[in-house]
Amino acid sequence: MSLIELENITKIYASDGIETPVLKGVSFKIEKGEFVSIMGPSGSGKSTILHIMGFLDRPTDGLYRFNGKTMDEMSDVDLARIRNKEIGFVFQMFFLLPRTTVLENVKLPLLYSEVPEKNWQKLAEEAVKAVGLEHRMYHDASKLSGGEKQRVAIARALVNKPKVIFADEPTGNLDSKSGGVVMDILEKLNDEDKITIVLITHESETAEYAERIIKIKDGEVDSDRIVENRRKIGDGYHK
Amino acid sequence: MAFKAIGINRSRSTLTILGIVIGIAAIIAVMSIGKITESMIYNQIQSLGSGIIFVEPGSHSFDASSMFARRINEKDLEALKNPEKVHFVKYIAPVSIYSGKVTYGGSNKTYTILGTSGDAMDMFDYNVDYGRMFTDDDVKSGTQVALLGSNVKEYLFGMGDPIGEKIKIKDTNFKVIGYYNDRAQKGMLDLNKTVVIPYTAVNRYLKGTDTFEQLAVKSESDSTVGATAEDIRYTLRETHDIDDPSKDDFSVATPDDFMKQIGSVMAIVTILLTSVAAISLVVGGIGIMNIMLVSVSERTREIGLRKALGATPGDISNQFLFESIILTILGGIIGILFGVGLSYVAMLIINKLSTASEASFVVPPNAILIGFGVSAFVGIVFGLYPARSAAKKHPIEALRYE
Ligand SMILES: Nc1ncnc2c1ncn2[C@@H]1O[C@H](COP(=O)(O)OP(=O)(O)OP(=O)(O)O)[C@@H](O)[C@H]1O
Ligand SMILES: [Mg+2]
Repeated sequence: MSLIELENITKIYASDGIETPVLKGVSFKIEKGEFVSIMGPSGSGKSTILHIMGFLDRPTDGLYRFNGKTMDEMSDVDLARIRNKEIGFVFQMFFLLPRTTVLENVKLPLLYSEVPEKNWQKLAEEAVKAVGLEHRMYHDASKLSGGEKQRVAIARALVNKPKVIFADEPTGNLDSKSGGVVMDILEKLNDEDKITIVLITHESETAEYAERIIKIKDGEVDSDRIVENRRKIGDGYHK
Repeated sequence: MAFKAIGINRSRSTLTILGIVIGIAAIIAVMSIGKITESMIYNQIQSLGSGIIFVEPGSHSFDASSMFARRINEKDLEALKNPEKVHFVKYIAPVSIYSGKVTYGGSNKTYTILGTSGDAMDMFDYNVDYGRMFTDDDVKSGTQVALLGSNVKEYLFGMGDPIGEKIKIKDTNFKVIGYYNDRAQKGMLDLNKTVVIPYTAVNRYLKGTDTFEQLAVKSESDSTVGATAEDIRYTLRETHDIDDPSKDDFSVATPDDFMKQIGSVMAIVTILLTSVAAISLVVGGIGIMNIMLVSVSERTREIGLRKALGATPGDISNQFLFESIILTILGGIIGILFGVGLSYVAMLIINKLSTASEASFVVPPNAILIGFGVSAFVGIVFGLYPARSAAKKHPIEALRYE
């Protein structure tokens, strides 16, 4: 059984009587432990696919199965639960709470989990250590550098020990050096902790951290190939 | 985290909770002023007993002529003592007040001299603790005998026994025949600083008139007070040659009148404060709703993020409801403090206005509970709509919100 299965997923936005078909029947599978990049031109529907895979949005039609569970049969509360327990998100814009410490930001998903409160501190500290920010634990998150902010966001995605991390252009707002650090962390999480990673990027260097690249064009899968010379930690990173 | 969000817009929040503060303060004030007047009425009844009627010269309508109105005199007293004319009278005690220097040995001091009759002793519990009372005969003949309040005895005699000693009031000698222990003050008179002598003696030796400041009449029971008071009015009109009741040059006040006055003032105060409370709470509630809607819209992205991280619609709704309740309870706490202060001021004013008895300061504990309850309730009612609208936001659209 694959971790992620999309079968003929369509998404049509309708506003003011105008229907915009964004996804026109997308199908692919992602296995447990895979590292997959999604590439494609702007507006091709990459983020839309990621949102559906992350239970943030529902498709207009088609079947989406995650870990054997079908989205159709789930209520909005079920979606929130599965996002909290099984999924971590990393966004281009970081989305950290301002005037809040790094540690408190990382604890945020625990607030909505069934994890007992006495374990929160330990789990959050572990996650912060995993992204190498233990010296910034009690700093105001809004005062960090962009690279550090994205690492806090990764720690936050990690804290509930998810099966998969969905990252939508995580290096899009970063310079090449801090982008490299972020990619090294994602690579390590995939390699050592066996966390499935799905990454959207429009930079081919970044995409090549993955073992597989799916290209989307006009709401359809254009190509789906294995990366031959996959980048490894420490390979360096150049834009 | 909720507190932090409120902190960001502290000045805006402060203005918004003003309505809640005023509303809750008014609720507390209504409840404790009610309790305070209740306690005062209770004290009044406790100290004077029920069924007492006060007869005083002057119409109580504050025109200048009432200043020169005819005094109540011994002829009036005799007329009122006639059981054919005034029914159901149990006691009738004249009150003749004089303020004068009391001398014994080398020491002297000015005290209140109360001239009255034996009836007052039973009516106001003025029976002496040591020595004897003056008799009806003493009153009839104006005997120069005196009863000393505890301060007077203490000042003039110290530890010594005053009974049988002669004191001088103005230029007249009085023989001390009894004295009092410390007494709690009832009504206007502080018995501790008073010398009590027969009213006939006050009028003859000290004032040189035959008039009284007041007559206190006790009717047989609560149910006969009205009839007795009416008989008194009728009789005094006769002795004062008055045909038109609106020209009365005396006033007859019963505890009922007093209570009725307080009651009607209280009713007005209650209605006023209750409407102030209701209006302020609604206005404050709408303010809270507004500030919460602004907060929801300003924090749309935060809502999107929290949803992405697994917050259910219920979690989001609870967060904003909690924030709005914190705001209103904060207003409630300040309002409770203001309300307590307001009630204290009200108590001071009530005590200033009513010379009859002391109101004690009470804030009923359930007023504070109700204050908290109402502020939380306003927080829930007016926080509900913003909280629901936050909960309904689509996570992706919320995250995309600029
Ligand atoms: N709520 C919406 N209503 C209408 N159209 C929408 C809505 N959301 C997205 N779209 C459209 O769907 C298309 C795909 O959007 P999507 O964000 O998935 O693209 P993308 O591949 O992630 O692009 P980018 O690389 O620029 O992020 C775009 O043309 C966008 O305008
Ligand atoms: Mg996108």
